[in-house]
Amino acid sequence: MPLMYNQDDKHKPPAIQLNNIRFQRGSHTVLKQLSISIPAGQWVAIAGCNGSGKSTLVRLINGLLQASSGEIIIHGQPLQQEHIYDVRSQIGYIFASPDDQFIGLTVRDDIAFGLENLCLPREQIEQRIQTYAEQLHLTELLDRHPATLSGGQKQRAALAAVLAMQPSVLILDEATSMLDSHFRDQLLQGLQALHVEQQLTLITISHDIKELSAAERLIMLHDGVILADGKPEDLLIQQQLLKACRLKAPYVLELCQELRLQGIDIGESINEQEVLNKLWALLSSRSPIAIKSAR
Amino acid sequence: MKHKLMLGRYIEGQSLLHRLDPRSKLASMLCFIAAVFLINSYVTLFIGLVFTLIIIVLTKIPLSYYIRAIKPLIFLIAFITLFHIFFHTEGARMLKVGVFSIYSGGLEKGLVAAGRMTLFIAFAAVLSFTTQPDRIANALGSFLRPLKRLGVPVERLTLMLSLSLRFIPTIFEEVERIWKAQVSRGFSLADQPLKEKAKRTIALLVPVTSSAFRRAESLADAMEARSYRLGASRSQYRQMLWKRSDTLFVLSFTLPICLITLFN
Amino acid sequence: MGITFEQVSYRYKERALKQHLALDHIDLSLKTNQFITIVGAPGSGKSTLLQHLNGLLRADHGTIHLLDMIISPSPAKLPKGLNQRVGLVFQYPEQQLFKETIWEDLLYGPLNFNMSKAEAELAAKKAAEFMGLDDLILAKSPYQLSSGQIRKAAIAAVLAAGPEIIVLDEPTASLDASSRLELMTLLHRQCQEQGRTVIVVTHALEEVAPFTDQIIVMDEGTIAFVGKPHELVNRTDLIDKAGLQIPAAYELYAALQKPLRLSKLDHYPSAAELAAAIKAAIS
Repeated sequence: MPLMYNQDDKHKPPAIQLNNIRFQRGSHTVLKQLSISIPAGQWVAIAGCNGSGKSTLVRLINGLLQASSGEIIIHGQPLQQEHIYDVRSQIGYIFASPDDQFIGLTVRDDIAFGLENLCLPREQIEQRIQTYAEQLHLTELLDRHPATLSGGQKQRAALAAVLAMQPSVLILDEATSMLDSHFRDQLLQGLQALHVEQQLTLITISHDIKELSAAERLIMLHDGVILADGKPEDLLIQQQLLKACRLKAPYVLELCQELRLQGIDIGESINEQEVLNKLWALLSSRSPIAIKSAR
Repeated sequence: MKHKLMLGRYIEGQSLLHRLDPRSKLASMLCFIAAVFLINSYVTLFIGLVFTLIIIVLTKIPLSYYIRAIKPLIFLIAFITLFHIFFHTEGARMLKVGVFSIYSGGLEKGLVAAGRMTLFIAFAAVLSFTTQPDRIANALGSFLRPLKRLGVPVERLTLMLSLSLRFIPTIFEEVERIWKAQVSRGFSLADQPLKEKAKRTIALLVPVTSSAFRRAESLADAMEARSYRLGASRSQYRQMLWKRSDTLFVLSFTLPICLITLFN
Repeated sequence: MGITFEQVSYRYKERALKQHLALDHIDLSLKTNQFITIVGAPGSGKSTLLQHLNGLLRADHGTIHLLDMIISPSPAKLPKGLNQRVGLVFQYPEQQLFKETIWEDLLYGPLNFNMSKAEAELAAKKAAEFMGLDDLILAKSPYQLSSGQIRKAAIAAVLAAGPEIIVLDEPTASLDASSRLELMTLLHRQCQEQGRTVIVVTHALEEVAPFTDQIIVMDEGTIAFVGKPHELVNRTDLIDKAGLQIPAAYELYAALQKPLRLSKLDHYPSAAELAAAIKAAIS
């Protein structure tokens, strides 16, 4: 049974509401009767195997794709093709490929691109370029051509370009999948800061357990329907869910499962510190001498 | 691969030429071409050469860079020279090499033709060394704008131009990567008849082409996601300022045109 | 027989601005029939090193011994058959597939290396079977496959040529977690069952630690470390510089080692092993 997330702020209009969305591609129904409500400021992670419909889902939100039936409501306004360009300025989208979303000839031009689309005056564009380049540590790289930048630098530029448009919702579609773990951590920290400081609604698609567990809420898709919807720490310990989304159980979870097989039950968790603490508790309860954590 | 091409590269600098509006440089190129077309003798070639050298000095870029830009085309220049030398029979006979004779008239025509070609390339180098490619694109775009009324899709063309400029180095790298991957799988063009070489090149072209298509789709999505809309009005971040120096620069080209016409 | 680098140096010619050595007098000695991992920060020289293994790049100085072949700096000729005996798989290898069906692409390499049609078909069939590609997939065009399938197909295409050493640059990039594990397991099997030397460049220490026999850490064109993964985890300086993360297995083991009086590590501790060790220590 899919777990439902409890909405505390029922009186605030949700940032994004999807009602009975169906998406058909040829004879294949990619999304089947999906309904999701995302309150403003929430960080939602979406997981699912390739073909589960996760990319399709987020592309419906910023209008890159149109639903076959059902309605999409953004900040209380139904999404219609005529207003699509206004909506797009509020919903930032970061793609997986660093090269294929770098439009300008330099970092500076790339950040300016979106702002030119919004018809901002030159001085304001310049201001925003400076602000967001600084925020993402790109100031020295502003006049560089993308061919001279690393993947991580290009993704940072993409972030600067999208954040400069000051969206209220940020969608990251496997933004770190082509990059190394170093950048992944950098990005996670940055997102956490953004989420707290600017109360941005975040939607992140990922295959990485660490990234998925950083979010407040996890929606797992399978074959076009919602398989589960709840807290990452509750969902990511369930073997069948992990398997359905082709996620790999982290080592610490495997350890919990193996311990259970050995007759030691400390529950299940994907949090290493939590598991260690439970083991200490277990050890100190069995030994007359309290054993302190080695960390 | 791309590093071997000198012409088409931008070289940073603060010279007079660097600071000119790209439109004046583009406009002056047209004037320059007109002037060079009028060259038809040693004297007029000399005038053109002096004028070009003055401009090169004004770019504050060492002459060696220009020589490197001309080098790849040296065979073309030599071919043109020899063609003129052997096929023009005016003037006094200077040399007889077996069946062929070299006449002074032919020599002059040959050297002048070579000189004209060299001046063309040199000026193209001046333009590319001192102007960033996207500025050239902007300048072209602004020149083409009046054609909008005739139904020419100026925005589309400008967009195509700037995206090409953005992606040329990236695609070069990709071609190199795919070439290396195929070589690692035994791909070889050596010792093959031309027809076979053409067939085998598909091993390179197919992946590059399909990746280009994929890239184009992704780019379109990315641009739309950032609220881009073809035909909608947009502001412009990069500005081109036409100053007095730009007017003077373009007007200065009347000098060589006049002189060359005079000495024609 | 093995893989040896003797004082190998290489400098990229085109990048006139950066005159630094991409490979700085590298000395390396490795046994074959192993699963070897190369890690390092971007720009440390990993890619450059890989391309020296099959002759794509030629060292400016130094000699490379591969199996029974010797690669000397140009103008010396490359050993015959180098390309075939050392298979190189670049990042996103699916980008190199160009034939109409996967099956034809599997034949491409073997036929290029002058195998007879019969030999090529046999080799392609074996490679496809090993990577789990059935006839249905082989008949499809590359554009019809999932990312995991197409990655396997591209690697099978290199395996089909029958290399003794296979070198892969970030083979699991962009794959989902299950596909990554699957691929690593298959590569490990190539080593164990087929006796091939497998050299992998990756930054994901976590996924390679259970399989690799040796780890090489590169830093600014030099070899900073050669050894076993559990020996590397203590070198936090190298780990930080290379932008790596210590796999959870080692971290947990280290945290539990003193209190549970666990023995010193000499291999990768699987979850089952660690659980058994904890059980033993507690009882």
